[in-house]
Amino acid sequence: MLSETIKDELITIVGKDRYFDQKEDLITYSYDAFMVEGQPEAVVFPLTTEEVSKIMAVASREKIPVTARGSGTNLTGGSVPTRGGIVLVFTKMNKILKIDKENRLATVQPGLINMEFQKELAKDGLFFPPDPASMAISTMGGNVAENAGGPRAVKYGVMKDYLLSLEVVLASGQVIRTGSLTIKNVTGYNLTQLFCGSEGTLGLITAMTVKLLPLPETRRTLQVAYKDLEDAGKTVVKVVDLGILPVALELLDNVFINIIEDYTHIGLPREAEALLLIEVDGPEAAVEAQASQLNTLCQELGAIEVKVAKTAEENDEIWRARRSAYGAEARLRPTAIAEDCTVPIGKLVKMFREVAKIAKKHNLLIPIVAHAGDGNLHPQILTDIRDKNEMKRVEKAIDEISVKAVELGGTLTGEHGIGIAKREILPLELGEGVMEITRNIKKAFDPLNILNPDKVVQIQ
Amino acid sequence: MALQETQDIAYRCNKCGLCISTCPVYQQLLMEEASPRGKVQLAKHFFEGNLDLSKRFKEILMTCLLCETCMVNCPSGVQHDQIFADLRSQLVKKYGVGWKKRLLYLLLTNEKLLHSSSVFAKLGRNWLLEKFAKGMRVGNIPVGRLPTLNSKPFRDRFDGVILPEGEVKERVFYFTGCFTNYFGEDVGQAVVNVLKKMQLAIEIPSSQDCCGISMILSGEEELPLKNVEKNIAMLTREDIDAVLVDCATCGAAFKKEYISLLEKKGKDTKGAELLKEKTYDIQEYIADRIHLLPFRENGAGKRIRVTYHDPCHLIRAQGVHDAPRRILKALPQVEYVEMEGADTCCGGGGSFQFDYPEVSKGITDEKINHIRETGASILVTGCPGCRVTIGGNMDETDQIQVLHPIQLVDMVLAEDSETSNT
Repeated sequence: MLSETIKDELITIVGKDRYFDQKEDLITYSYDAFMVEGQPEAVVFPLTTEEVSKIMAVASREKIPVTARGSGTNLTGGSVPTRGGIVLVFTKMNKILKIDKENRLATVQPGLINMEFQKELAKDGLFFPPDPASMAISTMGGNVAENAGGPRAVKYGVMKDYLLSLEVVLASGQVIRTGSLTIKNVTGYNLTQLFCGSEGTLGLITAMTVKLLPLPETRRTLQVAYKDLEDAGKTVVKVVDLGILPVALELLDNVFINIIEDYTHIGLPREAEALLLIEVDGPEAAVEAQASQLNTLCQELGAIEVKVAKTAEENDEIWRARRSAYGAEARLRPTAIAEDCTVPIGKLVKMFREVAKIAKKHNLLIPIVAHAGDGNLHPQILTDIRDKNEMKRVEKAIDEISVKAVELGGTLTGEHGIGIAKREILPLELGEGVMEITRNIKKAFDPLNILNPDKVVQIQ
Repeated sequence: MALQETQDIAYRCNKCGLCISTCPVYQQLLMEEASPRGKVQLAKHFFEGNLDLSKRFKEILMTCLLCETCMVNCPSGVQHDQIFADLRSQLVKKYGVGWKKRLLYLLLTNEKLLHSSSVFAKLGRNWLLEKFAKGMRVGNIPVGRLPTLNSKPFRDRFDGVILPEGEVKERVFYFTGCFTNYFGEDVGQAVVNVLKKMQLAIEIPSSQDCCGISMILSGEEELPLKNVEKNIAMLTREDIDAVLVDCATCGAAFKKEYISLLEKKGKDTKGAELLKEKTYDIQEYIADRIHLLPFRENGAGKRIRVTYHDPCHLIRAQGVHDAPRRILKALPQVEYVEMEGADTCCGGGGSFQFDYPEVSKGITDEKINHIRETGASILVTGCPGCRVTIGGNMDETDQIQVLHPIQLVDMVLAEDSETSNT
C-alpha cells in the first residue's frame, strides 16, 4: 500500500473521485488480455497533461512504479502492474482535440477509442487506417504505445506510418513535444518513432497528432477456398504482379475452417486446406475491375471456390467467417493464447507447416489465422490455463514457434508487442548489441526504472 | 452443483475486453469496475475465496443494467446473466433488499393487496401531484411525467372470454402484466381491439399474478416461487393455443427466467418449458398474422414517421428483432426509420435508474438524442419500463409520442375504418 502522505498527495492532484485503492478496484486493474496478473497499490484517472505530470513528479520522487493503461486489451501483459505501484488510467482523457480537414490531421487524447475516432472522421469523409482487432475498444494511446496494426496493414501500414507528433510526460514529470505537424521532418532524432511501440516504458503519451486519408469510395471482398495451402500462398505473392495492392489478405487454415463451420454453419468448404479473404478498395469502377482480375488469378492458381461480394452486406457476410474465428475457438477450450510471429510473405506457407508440426509434436490444437498479406500469423494455442501439464507443453510450443519465425528471417511479434510474454526470448532476435542499446535507451529515459518496469527489457 | 457451473463460466472469460465496447454503463463511467469483464474477474476472485461480498463489491455488481449486451457480444460465450444472477442472490442473502423493495415485493406477491393498494395509490398520487410533487422527480423523471393509474384495474373491466364477431380461429390467453393492469389501460385496450380483428377468442385470466421478474432479477429465490408456480399452473391450460404478453419483461420471465429459477431450486421445469413454448410477445404473434389485419391504403401515403427502440428483454432475452419492424413496415401510413443504436439499452434497468440516476441519465439522454435524429413523431417500444424511462426523460419541447407498437397498429386500423366509413 502507498503511505497515507503519498495517497493524500495523489488525491490532491486528481481528486477523491478519481483515486481508488480498495481491494475490488485493485483487482480490476490487475490484468489485461494476457495470462499473467499483478495488483497495483493505487489507481488514478487523470484528466489533463498537467495532472499526469504532477503524478509522475510524485512517483519519481518516491520511486513508485507507474503503469499506463487504456482499455486493457493488451495481449502480452503490457498493462499489468507486475511491481504494484500506480496504474495510471487514460480512459477519461478521451477527447478529440482537433480535426484539421484542410491539413488532413487530427490531434487526440490517449484515451480516445479507435472506433469512436473512426466514426467522427467518417462524418467528414476522412479515414484513419490502423485497425487492430480490438479497435472497437482499444485506445489511441495504447495503439501508439504498441504500434498497433490490423488487417489493413497490407495496403495502409500501421500506427507508426500515421504519427506526426506526440506530447509525452517523461518519468520525471517533464512534458515534451516530439515531431511537428508536417509530413516531412528530419529535424533531430526521430523520437516520435521511438515512443511508438515503446509499451509505456519510456514515457506517457498524453496527446498525439496523426495523419488522415480520404475515406475510400467503396470496398469489395472475395472469399477463395483452396484445396492446397501452397496455392493460397502463391496467390498472396502473385497478387502484386497484377499491379493490385489489396487492403487485406487474410488466411485461415483447415483447422480453423472446420472449427468455424462447426459453430456457424455458414457453408465453408470443410475439405479446403486454406481459405483466403481478399479485400480491395477505391473508386467503384476500379474495385469492380480488380475483383474480376483477382477472381481470374485465383482460379488459375487452383482455387476450388471463389465468392465475390456484390454488396456491402455480402462483404460483411464474408467477413463473418473471419470474425467468428475467436468465438468459435473459445467454445472448444477455455484459454486461447494468440501468438503473433511474422515472416516474409514468401515464407508464409513454410511457417504454417512448421506450426502444424509443432502442434502435432506437443499434442496441441493450434488453428492458424494470418494477416497473410504482411506475413503476420496468429497461431491460436487452445488450452486450459488450469491444466498445469498441458501449459508446460504450451510454453514449449510457443518458444519453438518463435525460434522458427526468427530462423525464417521473421520476427517474434508483428503487432502484439513484447510485454511480459516475449521478454525472455527477446535477445534471440535482437542479439547482445541491440539488447545493450535497448537497455541504455531505457536508462536514458527512465533512470529510476519506474515506467512500466519489467516490460520489454529488464533492468537490474 | 450450480456454483461450480457458474465458476466454470467465469473461467471462460479470456479477458479480451470486447464486452467493454458495448456496455452502456462502462461508456458512462469509463472504469474497469463498471465493465462486464471487471465484474466477471471479481466474481472469479470471489469464487476462489480471495474476495468477500463486501459493500464495494455489492456496489460494483449492482452498477449493471442486466441488459445482456455483453453476453450476446462475447466471443467466448460467457453467460454473464448466470454469473450476475448467482451473485445477486448471494447479495440478497447477506444484505437483504431494503425496505422499499421489500414493500414492493410484498405487493407483487400478493395480488389482492396490490389490487386494493392501487386504489389508494391513485388517490395518493393525484393528491400528491396537486399539492406537492409538481416540481419533484423520481430518479430523473419529473413526477408529472410518470404514468397515471388506470381509473380501475384493466382486468376488472373484463369478465370471461372476449369473443370476436364470426368464427373463432384460435383461443389465446392475454397476460396483461402489472403495468397494463394498473397503468396502461390504453395498451390493454389496443391489444384487445387488434386481437378481436384477428378472429381470436381472448381470455384475460383475472387471477393472474405478477410475473415476478423484478424479484428474480434482484436475486430473490424463494419469494417469487409462489407467483411462478401459480402462473405456470394457470397459463398452461390445454385448450389454450397461445399465451400473449404485451410486456417484454413478462415475456422474458416466461421464456427464460422461470426455467432457470426452477432449475436453480432443483424443481421440475416441465411446466415452465410448456409455458415457454406457448408464450409469444404480442408483436411476434401479430407479425406472423399481419395479413389477417384489414389495413387499407387510404391514399395519404406514408405520412407518420415512426422509430423503434429494442427493449433488452425483447431483443436479447427473447431474441425478437424482426417482428416489430415487420409490423411497422406493413402499416401503410407509417414511414419507418431505424435509429442509431436501436438495440442499446435505454438506461432504465428497472430500479437501476433510481439507484444510479446519473449513470442512467447519461445513457437515456444518448438514446433520446438518437430518437430525435430520426425526426420521428412517434417512438414505439414493447416494454413499459422503456416507455416510462424514455418518455419521462424527454423535454417539454419534444413533440414525440411514446407508444406500444400495438397502440400504433390499433390507431392505424381505427383511422382506416373511419376513412372507409366516410
